[in-house]
Amino acid sequence: MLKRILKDRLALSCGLIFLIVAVLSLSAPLVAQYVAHTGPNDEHITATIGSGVHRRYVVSLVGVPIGPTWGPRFFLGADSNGRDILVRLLYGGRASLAVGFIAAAITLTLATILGVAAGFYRGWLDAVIVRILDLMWAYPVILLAIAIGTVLAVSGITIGPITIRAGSLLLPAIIIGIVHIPYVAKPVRGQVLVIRKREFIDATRVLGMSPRRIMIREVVPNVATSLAVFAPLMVANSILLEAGLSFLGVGVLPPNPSWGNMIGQGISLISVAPTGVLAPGLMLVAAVIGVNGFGEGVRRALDPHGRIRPR
Amino acid sequence: MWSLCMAVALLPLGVADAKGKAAHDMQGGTATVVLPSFESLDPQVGFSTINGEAEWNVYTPLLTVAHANGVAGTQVIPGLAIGLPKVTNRGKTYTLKLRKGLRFSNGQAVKASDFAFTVERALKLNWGGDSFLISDIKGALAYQSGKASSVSGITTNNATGRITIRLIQADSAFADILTFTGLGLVPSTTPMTAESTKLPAGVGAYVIKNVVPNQSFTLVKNPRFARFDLPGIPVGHLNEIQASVDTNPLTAEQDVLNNRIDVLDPNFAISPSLISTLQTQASGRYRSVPTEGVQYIFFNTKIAPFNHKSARVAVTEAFDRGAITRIEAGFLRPGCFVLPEEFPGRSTQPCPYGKVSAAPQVAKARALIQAAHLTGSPVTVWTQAASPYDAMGAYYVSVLDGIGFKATLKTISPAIYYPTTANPTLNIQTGLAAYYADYPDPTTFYHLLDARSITPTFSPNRDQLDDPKVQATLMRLGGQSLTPSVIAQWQKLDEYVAKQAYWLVMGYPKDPELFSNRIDVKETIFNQKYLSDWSSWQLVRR
Repeated sequence: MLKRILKDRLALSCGLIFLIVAVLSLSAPLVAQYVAHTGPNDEHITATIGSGVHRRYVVSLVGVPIGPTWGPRFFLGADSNGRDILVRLLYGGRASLAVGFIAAAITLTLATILGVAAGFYRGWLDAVIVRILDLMWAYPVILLAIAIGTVLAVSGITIGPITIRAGSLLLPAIIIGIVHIPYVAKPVRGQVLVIRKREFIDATRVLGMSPRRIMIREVVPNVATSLAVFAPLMVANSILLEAGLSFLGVGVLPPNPSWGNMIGQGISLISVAPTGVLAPGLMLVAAVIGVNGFGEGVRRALDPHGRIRPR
Repeated sequence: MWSLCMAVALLPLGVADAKGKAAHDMQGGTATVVLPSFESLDPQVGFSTINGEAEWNVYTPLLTVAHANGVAGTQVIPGLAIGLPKVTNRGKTYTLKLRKGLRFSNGQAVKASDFAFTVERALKLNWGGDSFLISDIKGALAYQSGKASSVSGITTNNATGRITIRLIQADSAFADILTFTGLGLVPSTTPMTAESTKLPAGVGAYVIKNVVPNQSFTLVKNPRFARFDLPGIPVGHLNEIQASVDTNPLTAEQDVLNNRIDVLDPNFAISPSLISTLQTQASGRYRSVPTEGVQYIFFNTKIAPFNHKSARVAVTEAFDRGAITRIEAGFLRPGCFVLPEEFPGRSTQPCPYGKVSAAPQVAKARALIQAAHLTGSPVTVWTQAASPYDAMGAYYVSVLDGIGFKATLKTISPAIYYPTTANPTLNIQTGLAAYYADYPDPTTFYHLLDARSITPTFSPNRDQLDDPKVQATLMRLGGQSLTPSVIAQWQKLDEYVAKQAYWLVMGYPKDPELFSNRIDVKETIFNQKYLSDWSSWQLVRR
């Protein structure tokens, strides 16, 4: 599979784009400390930069923030609170990518458990799980996420001994992870329904393996290739949904940055400070194209009927 | 002085004079107005400034305020009553007489007992301003808590139209309280339940129709109203006013700038990106008007950490009002006292924690927090999920974090912000708020720090403050006219509250007014209590 991916230039290019976005985002603390000398939430509303005739307010007296300086400080300009857009962009990337990966991990884990259990056991368990998945599937994913997000964003959530405070990154990750479950669980269940009738499963039963062991040792490895195809798609979808929720104020909560809430906050100033919207927008596009393109490459590499087209 | 400034500032826009302007009047037509939000339009439920604007010309109370610009607009005039109230019993009894021949918009005759019913309805439905009634009218609290079947302090006589209101204690501002649209008369047959779409009938120039909650409504001219010929109360120019909500200030402002919508509600915050465009492209139809309001941060004094004076003082020391002024695009005059500049009773002393233009004392504030062992205390800041309040909230959070607190921001819809933050059961620690004077008396602001305003479900006193010194002063001054000695005592209270840092006053707002080129801007009225006077809007004669 690796050989096939390495021969797929499109997938490699997309992977490289995503890698650049990820590395830039991971470098956020370094940029903040050694280049911009400011944190993502540090406000410089009444500060000035430059000296003499070149001295400028970070935020003007009528609230217009400074544009790109192309220098170490305020490289991409400032937002309405006098915060460095570049620093927030990189920290926002960390938040968006973290939420994307955690949400995708939650989706894949829970969807695999539910899909495999439903498909393997069938009967009443299958009926209950499928009905719940149908219900979730029928509800528009963004509305479902907003509804859950609005409730949890105010109060947080407590599950047994674990408390997740409102404002934690885990909260949008869990919400997004949950609402995406049907999109993976249903195909996995379908695949398990086919696998469970295969002879090698019958053989393991004859050998006396417990159903749980059969699922873990025999069924899950056989759906792993599908999960490998789903994984990058789920990461991309989760990043997009996080951006949408944060834009609407129920994802990553301000003042913490994410690409979505940066777009939401910058939109009222788009005519005078376009970088506040364009920069996170472009990063979002780059990240999603990168992950999706790479994911498509993985799918092609795993497709037994597919061939790499000669270039 | 303030009134003089207002008069001069608003002179070119003209002052309402129904008869004098007859020659310019343009009747009929439809106009559109865009609002940032609105609460329930049931007069005995909603209490926001935006609701007041819409309801002022729909639900006329016994008394109202003059439809005039500037300080003239704070003058109390008779509404549905004949003349101003007769005040007896050392200020504790108000007697009014209902005008004869009045009818509600649904055709029902108006009776004196409708006033008693209206007050009871406001109390039962927990009207946003019910604390005014509870603290003033005898038996209001007993009625609201279900201990009495009627408000004992109100007696009416339908045959003579006589209405008598007995107060718990004298209140010189009670006539002003009677001007609230929440006391705009509704028929006694109105259900005792909050109505969201099928609103009660009222007596006014317009009727509210086609209400889609949180989205839109229409004011349609009330054909019955003109024949009542109430002195000083206009019958309106437009046949219809269509109001709609746009939560995005930028699109709302652009719609009015480009003449797609006729009026921008003054409650919008003008986007900084549009200010220079407005000044160049819409100079004749755009202005900013200083208002008698205050923008402040409230501190819940009943719970940690703001039950410690040092926590409140530390925040005050570290707060940069210049930063907030910029976030508000210059639509704020920085200040530190509860009462706005030139308001009667406003302190004449310098701010107790340094000049409002002084640099923030972050190190000093951090030391205060450390000394009080409050470092690391969690604080949740509440604000509205709308520009610029979200940015102001983010700034406030950065101030709290900077002095050692562990702050988080909680943003909620503007439509539910004020009722939610006034709910004492939520134990809200701190948040941003604004208040506009309802009448030219310090009690209009100080009821927000009055312990009598605290009710189990709705407390405009968001600080939950019950300071014996504040309370004693409010009890003593509440009923008194604004003589020089009374004003001096209000000034002392203003200083005391600033010293105790019960509020962090950010400043006093300026409101924007923006009209399309279809509206005759010279004829529009900006009232200090109800902001834009919808009855003054008329189309330009072409």
